[in-house]
Amino acid sequence: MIGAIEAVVVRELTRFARQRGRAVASFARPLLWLVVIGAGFEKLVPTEGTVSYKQFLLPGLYGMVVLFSTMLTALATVHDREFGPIRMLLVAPLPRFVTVFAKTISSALIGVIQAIVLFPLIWILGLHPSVGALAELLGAILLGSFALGSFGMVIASRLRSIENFAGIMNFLMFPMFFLSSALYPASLLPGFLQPLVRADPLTYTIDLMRHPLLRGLYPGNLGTDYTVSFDVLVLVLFSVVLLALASLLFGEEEHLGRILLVEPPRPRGSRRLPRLPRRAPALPVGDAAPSD
Amino acid sequence: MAQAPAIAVAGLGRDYGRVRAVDAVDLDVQPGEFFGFLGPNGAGKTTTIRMLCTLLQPSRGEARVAGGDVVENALDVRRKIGVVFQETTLDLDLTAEENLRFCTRLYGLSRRDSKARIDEALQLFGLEERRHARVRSFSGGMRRALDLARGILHRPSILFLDEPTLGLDPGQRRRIWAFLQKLTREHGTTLFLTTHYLEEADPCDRVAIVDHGRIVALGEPAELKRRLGHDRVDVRTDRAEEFVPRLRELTGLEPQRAQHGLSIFVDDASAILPSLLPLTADGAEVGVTRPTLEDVFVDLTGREVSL
Repeated sequence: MIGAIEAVVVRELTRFARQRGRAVASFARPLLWLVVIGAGFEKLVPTEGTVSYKQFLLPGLYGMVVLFSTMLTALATVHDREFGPIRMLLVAPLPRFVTVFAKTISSALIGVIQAIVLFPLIWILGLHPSVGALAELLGAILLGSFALGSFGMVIASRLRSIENFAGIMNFLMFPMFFLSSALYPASLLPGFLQPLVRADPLTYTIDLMRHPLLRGLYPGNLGTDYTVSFDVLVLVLFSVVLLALASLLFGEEEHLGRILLVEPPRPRGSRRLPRLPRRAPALPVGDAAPSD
Repeated sequence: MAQAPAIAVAGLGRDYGRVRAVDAVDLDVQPGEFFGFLGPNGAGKTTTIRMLCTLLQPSRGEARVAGGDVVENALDVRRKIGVVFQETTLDLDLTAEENLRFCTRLYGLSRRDSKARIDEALQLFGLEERRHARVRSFSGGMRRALDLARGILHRPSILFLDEPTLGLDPGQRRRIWAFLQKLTREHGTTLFLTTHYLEEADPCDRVAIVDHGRIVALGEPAELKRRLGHDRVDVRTDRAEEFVPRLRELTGLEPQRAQHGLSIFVDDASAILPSLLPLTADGAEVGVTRPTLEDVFVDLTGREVSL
């Protein structure tokens, strides 16, 4: 079983390493946000503490990287399902839970790798976290990636084709980003949005990353929203519940069967004739049969 | 025949909403048997094979595969079966070797066993040179061969194949069939396959013909052909009108129109052939076709359609 999980992880990482465009896009997006949004907002937002807006924004950008990368990896499952490789997993002697777990851990690892590549920004923006704080940041990224990855798997289990991806990005990923604490402390959002803010795993992921990065600074109006232990607790809960749900949904044969069914069921009584490789010349044997 | 059947199916059916994809299938497949499952598109072949492979839950009935119930002991069943799907399951971004290694690891083979099996499989299918090439660069035939190699990597006792030769050229098809026959002969692997290239089903030990989610015929290919019980005599001519009354007169049977001219159906063609000789003198060509599995198929499913 460990071998199987390892096999899935190796496969996903190999694919990731070979799809350069995907990696480049995932770095370019947050850098653009940092330069454009960061610079603009820095002028607009009066800081009360010693934390600059860009320093505040940095965990939000890691959150963005992790969100896009985990969702992309999880949604690649839909592509797999359309084009085959997931069938290898489905006929292998593995419980669905293991399959879903292996996929989720792969997407979390890819998220972590992509975030690590952007680590130099920490020092470029003038932050000097201790080694312990860096380890804490890594742990936060891993846990957050895992929670978001399991969320992605739940979504993937319900999708029929990858074509819905644009819709997912516009109606799910961007709202998740804006409703999280990425661009502003989540507590600043109006009350009617708070239930959504609290239901968003990205809120806690970013908050948990912000703790080690801003530790020792006086944040003023650009601070964290929750305590570390609360963030961890919520993210663990999210992971467990979403992973269980994803295993359940992937295990639901009814749904998978519909997607995997290549032959569309033929309505009874239709008069479609069998398609046969004809030997020349064709004969209406069916009509001419001397029976009945 | 004291052996337990490799596949035992009773009243197996599956609905999608209100549509009955598979009505009720009953069959037994013996260990080491080469079993063909034939039917027109939409007859329920793929749905049946998916239920037997534990990928789909049956709506009714039961199926035991390799000694285990497909619902209760799905994991045990999966350990003992190999499945080759209609479309490739390979990851195009990985190399041939990486694809096979992914598979051996899923079945819990150790690294050493895994390496030995992969070497063996690549050699068997003549893919050693392409070992480190990405599957994306493979031709359809090579992909199919690699898929087949993947399906038998964990030495399953039963191999399910859904249209294994779809989209291949005749040479590739022949090679794959030769390999499958060798597999049953030398390793005693039970083969359960669907195909609609009917001439390919001839080497099967037994075939089942399905239509509308039910088995309409089951037996050895030769027996099924015998059951159809007629030879077809074709009279090739472009002056069919002229020959109709003469054929009727000579044979006492009603000729049927066909693309090439006329056909008549008789139990034994050799009995009436001499009497048709005069026709050849007038420029018609006379030929005999023994029933093929295809004729059996059209006869059975065609009748169902015209009901």
